[in-house]
Amino acid sequence: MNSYDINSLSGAYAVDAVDDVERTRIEAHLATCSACQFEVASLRSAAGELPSVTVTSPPPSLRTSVLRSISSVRPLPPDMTSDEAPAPQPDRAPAPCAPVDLSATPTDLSADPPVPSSLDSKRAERSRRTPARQWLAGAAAAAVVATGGLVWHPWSPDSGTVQLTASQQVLQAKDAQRFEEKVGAATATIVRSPGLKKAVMVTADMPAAPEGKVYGLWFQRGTRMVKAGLVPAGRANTVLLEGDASSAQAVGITIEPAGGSDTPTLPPVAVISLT
Amino acid sequence: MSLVPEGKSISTSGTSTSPLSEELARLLGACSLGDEAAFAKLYDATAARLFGLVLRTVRDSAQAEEVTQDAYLDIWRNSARFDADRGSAMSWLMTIGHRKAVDRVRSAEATRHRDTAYQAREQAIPFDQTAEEAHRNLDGQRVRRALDTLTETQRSALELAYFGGYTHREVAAMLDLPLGTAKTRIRDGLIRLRDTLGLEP
Repeated sequence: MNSYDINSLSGAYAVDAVDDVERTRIEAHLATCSACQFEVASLRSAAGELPSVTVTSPPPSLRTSVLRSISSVRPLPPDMTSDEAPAPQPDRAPAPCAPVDLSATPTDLSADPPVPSSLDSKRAERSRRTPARQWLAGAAAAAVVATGGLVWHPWSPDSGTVQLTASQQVLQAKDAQRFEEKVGAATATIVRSPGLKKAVMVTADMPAAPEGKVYGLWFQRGTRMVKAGLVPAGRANTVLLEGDASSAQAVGITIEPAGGSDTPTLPPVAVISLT
Repeated sequence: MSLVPEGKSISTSGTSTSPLSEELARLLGACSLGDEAAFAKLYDATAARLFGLVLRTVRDSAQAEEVTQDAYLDIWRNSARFDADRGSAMSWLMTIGHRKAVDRVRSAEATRHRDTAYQAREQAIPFDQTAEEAHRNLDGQRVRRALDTLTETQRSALELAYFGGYTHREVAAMLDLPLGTAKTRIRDGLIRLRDTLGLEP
């Protein structure tokens, strides 16, 4: 579960046959590897042909209902933060896959998670017909942006390690422990590295917090609840918990007023045991 | 209104050069600017394919309608984020529909335990028992022929993963494959399918 060949999962990822933790790891890798992006995109295009064997007309009432529902929804601007968008796909000549060591030694715990796609390429895509090379240039620029301005040469022959974000380091740590909790349709997975003393929460299908509220995170240490940060808005998130995770017995998720609180509002919506 | 009139077939090969994909890409561009008429055309051209996929995965017609509606809402909302350089419009639409369907069956699973052996028998619907209208669909025949070139294991693993919504670990357990083998079979199957269909992303 800790160190594995990400490339062999490209097919499973292309058809959504991975779990949330695998997905997070793969997407972190895809953000920096154009060869794997290319492969995933080509496999997705193959998978996208499969529905032609199950073509079934929906009832006419669905059309009415769908058209009615969109009229009250505003299309999002092209700025891209969604983790649901299909992986980027250059057309030709992908750069080779970097010799990524997924269990790389942690080097920087302060960097932010990478942006999965390039703002440059998003702007370029407005033309909808940009050459692949331009996309690759955008992707390369994104890699620099994503690692906080650090210059990174993914395909230099001797690069045995890559700059990983704090969250990636925890998710890919050799001693990573995984704890999963389902609450209704939502899934929260805590991945903790005792060695790094850090924990990451990966959420899926999280319903939005009530108006004016946010989800708060807490470490339970004995009878004390220690603040561990807030969950950003969105159905699916990867959040690095603040503070030392190594001695926590559980992670609690609560609903707090916007901006957070110093003490948890009880009862918690979920408690994920780390034992 | 349909872009694919009855009895005619327009190739939807994953390349963005096919007429339908180009039209869908254009319609998505119009959707991103709030053009509801363009969205209606997009729906008419793709709904049977997307609904069929969702129905096959979630099995229940009422739920399939909900999931399909949710997928189209996402397509409308995210239309500005489609990029023709990164894949065909059809592939993008099906990726969204598939992910929604998989999310639905996996969250349903959280509330009732799934007997994988039972599901394996249930799920093993051969491709040739699918909707009659698929038989009339030339794309369907082409894909069916391409699937015939896969090994039995590749085909079963791909079918369980794609239409069943199972993870590669679940697929391995269901097909009694050694741990770590299912993901390879899924990948090999997709590569064979891609190459047989002559798809160049």
